[in-house]
Amino acid sequence: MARIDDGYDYLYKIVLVGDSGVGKSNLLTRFTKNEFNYDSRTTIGVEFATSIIKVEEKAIKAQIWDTAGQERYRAITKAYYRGAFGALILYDISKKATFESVERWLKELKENSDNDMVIMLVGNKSDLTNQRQVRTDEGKAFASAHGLNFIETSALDASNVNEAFTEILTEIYNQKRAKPVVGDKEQAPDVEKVQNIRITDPAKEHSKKKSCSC
Amino acid sequence: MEGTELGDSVGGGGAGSTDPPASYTPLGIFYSQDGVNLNDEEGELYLVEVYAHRNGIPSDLLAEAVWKVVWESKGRGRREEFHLEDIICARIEGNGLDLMEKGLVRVQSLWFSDPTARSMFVDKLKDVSTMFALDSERTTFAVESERSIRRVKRSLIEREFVGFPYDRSSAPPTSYLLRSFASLTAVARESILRATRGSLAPDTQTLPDNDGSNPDDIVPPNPILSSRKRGVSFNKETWLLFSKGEARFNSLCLRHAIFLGGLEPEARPLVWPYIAGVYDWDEIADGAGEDKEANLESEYISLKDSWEPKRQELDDRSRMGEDENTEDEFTQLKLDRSRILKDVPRTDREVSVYEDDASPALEALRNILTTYAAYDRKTGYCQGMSDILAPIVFVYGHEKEALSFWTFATLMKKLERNFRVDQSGIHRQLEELRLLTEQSDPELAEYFRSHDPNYYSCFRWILVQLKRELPFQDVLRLWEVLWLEHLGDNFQIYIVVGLLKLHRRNLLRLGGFDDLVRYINEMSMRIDIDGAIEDAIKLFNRVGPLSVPEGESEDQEVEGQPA
Repeated sequence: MARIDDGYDYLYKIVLVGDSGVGKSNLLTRFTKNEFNYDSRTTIGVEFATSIIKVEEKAIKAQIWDTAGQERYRAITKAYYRGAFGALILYDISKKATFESVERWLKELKENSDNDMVIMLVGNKSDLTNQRQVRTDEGKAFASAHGLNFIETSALDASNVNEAFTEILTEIYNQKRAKPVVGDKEQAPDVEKVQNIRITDPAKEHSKKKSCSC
Repeated sequence: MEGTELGDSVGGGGAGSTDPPASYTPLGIFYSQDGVNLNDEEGELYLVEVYAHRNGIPSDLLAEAVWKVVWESKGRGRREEFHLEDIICARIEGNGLDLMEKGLVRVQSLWFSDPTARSMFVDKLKDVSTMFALDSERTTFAVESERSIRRVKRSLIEREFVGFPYDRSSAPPTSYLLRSFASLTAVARESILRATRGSLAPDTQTLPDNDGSNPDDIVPPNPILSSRKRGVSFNKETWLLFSKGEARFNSLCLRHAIFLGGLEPEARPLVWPYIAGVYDWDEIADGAGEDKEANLESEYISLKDSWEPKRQELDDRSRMGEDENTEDEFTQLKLDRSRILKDVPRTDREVSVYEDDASPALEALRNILTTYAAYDRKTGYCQGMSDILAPIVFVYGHEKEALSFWTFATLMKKLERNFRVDQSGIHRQLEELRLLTEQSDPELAEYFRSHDPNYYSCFRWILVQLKRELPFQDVLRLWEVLWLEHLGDNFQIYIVVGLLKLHRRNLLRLGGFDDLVRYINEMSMRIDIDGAIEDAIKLFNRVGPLSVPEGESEDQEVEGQPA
């Protein structure tokens, strides 16, 4: 298997969206650096991190784009969705309003991305059990109705964070693998090649669900 | 010409209206009083006053003699003699001539009883330096000495000046002058850099290439030019002399000195209200600041009173959405307040004054932002504003909440366009960025046209004036230069294009939009700000002021012709 220097077979772009303050940046740093910071700066525009995970002996590099949540900047931040294979829509289980915004985020993702993007709904801050305003089954029901994957996470106590990213990356990988790829799969992959082998299958099943562990 | 010789040949005492000011003590033909110290012993600034009195001496001899006293007499100042290359500004006032050093640390004041001698002295100065008028009255000049120019190849100077690409009659005269001056500064500096760092590309400074063949591996290198320094910083002692009216004062020279060298940290709390436009430069010597501060304080308190009594209701954590289309004003303010409470604890927490959760500086941020949201309902609060405010509160201290508020509010008159709901201000600036890139680097512009035609990759740079890209102290250095508007109100665009050009070789090898956004994000904290400011000045001189299609860009406040 030909590999380039930093050793990955596939590069997948994933975007994180959701209202301001739901914990997008911390979910990302928990996954990529195993860090959590109460005082992490608000995101302006977009920020990045990458992480490599193994799926069936293949190294998958996730390039994760963490976008700004405030509505005023969406006109610009939605430009960053282009070329993404997957998206996590986050809400804060202790703030009902952030869950109510999910529909708008979903609509925006669909309007601004390629149509076979894998989307996962993520109820974050599952550690705030006493302040919960969105029940797990509400999240699950919404996800199910819209064909999304679902998980509840806590960036603070790290629960389900790796699972969330592993699940979406695996699903993207399976989706890609299910279809014949253009060119030799032994080829060293890069961004362009990975993008070129994208397949479009509207009938893609998004039924795989995962319940939260809290 | 020997001073003693002249002294012997002349009797003391002036006549009539040509008498020097009473403070001068006559000493032969030169009435010189070494180091008339207007500050205390520890002070930095002092005037060295030289009085040239005519008594049958030909004007040219008089000019020559004064010249010798100014540049060649040892110990004329308290520490050492004046050097021509330290002079950044000259100001003519009647028969007087003030020569100002970098940072305005010292001012050499000359007074001629003979106006012809004064003119001849200025001519001599012009022979060994380049002088450009900073004002339409042609009384204030930027000075760049020949000694620092000398190292620059003649051809280079000709390209920058003689071959100036603009028709002078169509270019705004002020910009032309400032541009020309800036050009010289940059050229001179570049030549020095070149001499010290070996040969460089003649056009733009470039960073070393990355080896990575994969665009994903191309990362911004750490700055190699971090040793670049701008001029001498302007210090607090000097400022106090001006504000107490003890030093001769000219706002143009002050601003020029600050533009070239920046401010020392202790000077910032005093000077920022002027730079930001809260106080008028012309009021400095009247000591107007203190009276005005009392007024600002009471105005601020009444604005704060509009919401503070309702603090509990505002902070009530009942359900709130992100919907910006709510009609009700109080609901809107409540929404803004909830965002403020969410964002302030996430602002500059690594800076010592903001570290503690219970820090009074954090409380000042909350109060000021809420008061501003109530004061400017059209803009309200949105993310990025706490980034703009935090350096201001840091500079003034949390006790000066009112002054911080008014500094913020005054700046927001210009920056508010960044935060409008329709984002029109951001789009306009990204458009300016596109125009300037096209004018200054067609190849790079072509790259952007294919991969990021809207320049969204630079969104964050523009929105918060590079706040997220620089260490906190560097943010202060950059912002005071931007807020001065010495080279127009969109100098930031020149900084941004200068940075893109610095990294152009790497940028041109990137794969596309995603790589570009990533690369530009990764430039954060790898920017040499003094170098970036110099590059921007250089770019300004080469390209000239941006002509924005809407034609609403404001011109500078000064006008003049080349000297």
